[in-house]
Amino acid sequence: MIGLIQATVDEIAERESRDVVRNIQVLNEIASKPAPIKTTL
Amino acid sequence: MSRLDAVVSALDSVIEWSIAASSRLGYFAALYKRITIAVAVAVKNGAFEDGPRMELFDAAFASRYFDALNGHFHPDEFPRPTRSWQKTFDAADRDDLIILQHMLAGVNAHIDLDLGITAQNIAPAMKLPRLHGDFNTINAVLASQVQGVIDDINQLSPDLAELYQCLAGNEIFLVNQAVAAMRDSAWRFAMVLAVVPGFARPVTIWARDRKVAAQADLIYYPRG
Repeated sequence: MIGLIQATVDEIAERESRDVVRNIQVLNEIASKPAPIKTTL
Repeated sequence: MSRLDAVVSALDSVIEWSIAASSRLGYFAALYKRITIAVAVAVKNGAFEDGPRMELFDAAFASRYFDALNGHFHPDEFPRPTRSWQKTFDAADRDDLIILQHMLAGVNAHIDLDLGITAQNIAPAMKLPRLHGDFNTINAVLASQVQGVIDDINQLSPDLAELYQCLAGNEIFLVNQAVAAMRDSAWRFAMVLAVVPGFARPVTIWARDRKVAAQADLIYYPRG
């Protein structure tokens, strides 16, 4: 189990977009429309 | 313009700057914008026991983030950011971290340090218990937006999206558990601040800041 999370993070990082500007632009678009709001955890 | 509109507008400025500077600081700013818009909707829908108080609360909470940014970018004019925020801002230069790590580090600094301080400032000492219900609600709103971003992030982070799809309902549990743990910890911290004498408050916050900054390492260098 040791290193499993880090290995998963590395795997995600390999395919994740590294284009910071585009990433922020997409996140900003997402931000304008909130997800369904829950009021209890 | 409402207080929350002003927060969104300030966040837009941070996002615009981040795009121009190609800075990963924009990841948390975009997440925070979504959270603030959701809080505004929740206030409008009457989700809080005291909507106007929570609007005030949210604006005061956000101002701690803006103060930290000001301290980071204009150290000669503003007080230095807390250690927790400084660690988060410094990590924005790292390209080995995934988007979710940048966001969670911001959530860590903001909830585990700033939230308790804000709660105590808005409802000092004996008034604090009356805030507890709305304090829990605002954290639930926040968790739902972190979760929502993960759901929507598939075009940027396909493996993350796939992983979360694979975990199905459990991922909701994981994010909610993490936010619930931070929320409860923040509430305990607010309670501590409510009872310590005023002169001891700065050192209590200082110690908490060091602890929260150390927690950021668990996000940047996960051990499991």
